[in-house]
Amino acid sequence: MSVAVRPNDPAAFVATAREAISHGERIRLRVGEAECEVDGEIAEGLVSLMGALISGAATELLALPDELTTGQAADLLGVSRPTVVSLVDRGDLGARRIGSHRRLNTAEVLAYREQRRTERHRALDEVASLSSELGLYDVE
Amino acid sequence: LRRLRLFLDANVLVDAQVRDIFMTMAEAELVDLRWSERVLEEMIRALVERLALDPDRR
Repeated sequence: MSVAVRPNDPAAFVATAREAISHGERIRLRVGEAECEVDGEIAEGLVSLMGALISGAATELLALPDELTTGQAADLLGVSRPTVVSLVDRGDLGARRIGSHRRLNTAEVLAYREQRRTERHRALDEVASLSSELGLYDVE
Repeated sequence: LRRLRLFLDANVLVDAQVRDIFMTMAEAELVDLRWSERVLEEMIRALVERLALDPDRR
């Protein structure tokens, strides 16, 4: 089956897809260039996830302050707060101490995020070409 | 600002197409993905098994 997802109606998308999955149908999902055909448990999980993402797609734009708490930096980087603390302790990120609190420079955190994005992109490209070499994209 | 954090099991990582869907969402920073050392071991076992069934490859 194929459902065109309209961001303004995530509930309908989830309902239609769930119905099809419960009848044992395989569904095809596409995100950017990635495409997969799934059924059963994985299909259900993916569909619920996409429904949740679409509903939350009304993202808030907010201006960032010049300095961040470790918690804010963690949110920005998609890691936990303890991970940010250890990045600071390791010297990967700089921080200014205010008593027992740490404040991170926003520009530096954003630059670090950019560097991680680049590394991640390269790594994923490598995984994709390796998978294709090994025939892992071929349907069994 | 906080994203959904998902723990991926080996069955999700073994299927290249499904894995790519999750990785693409993570790259778009819609979700944060996590897995464990044990999940990776299980994934490797499953992949080795699959590739062994098909000696033409590798």
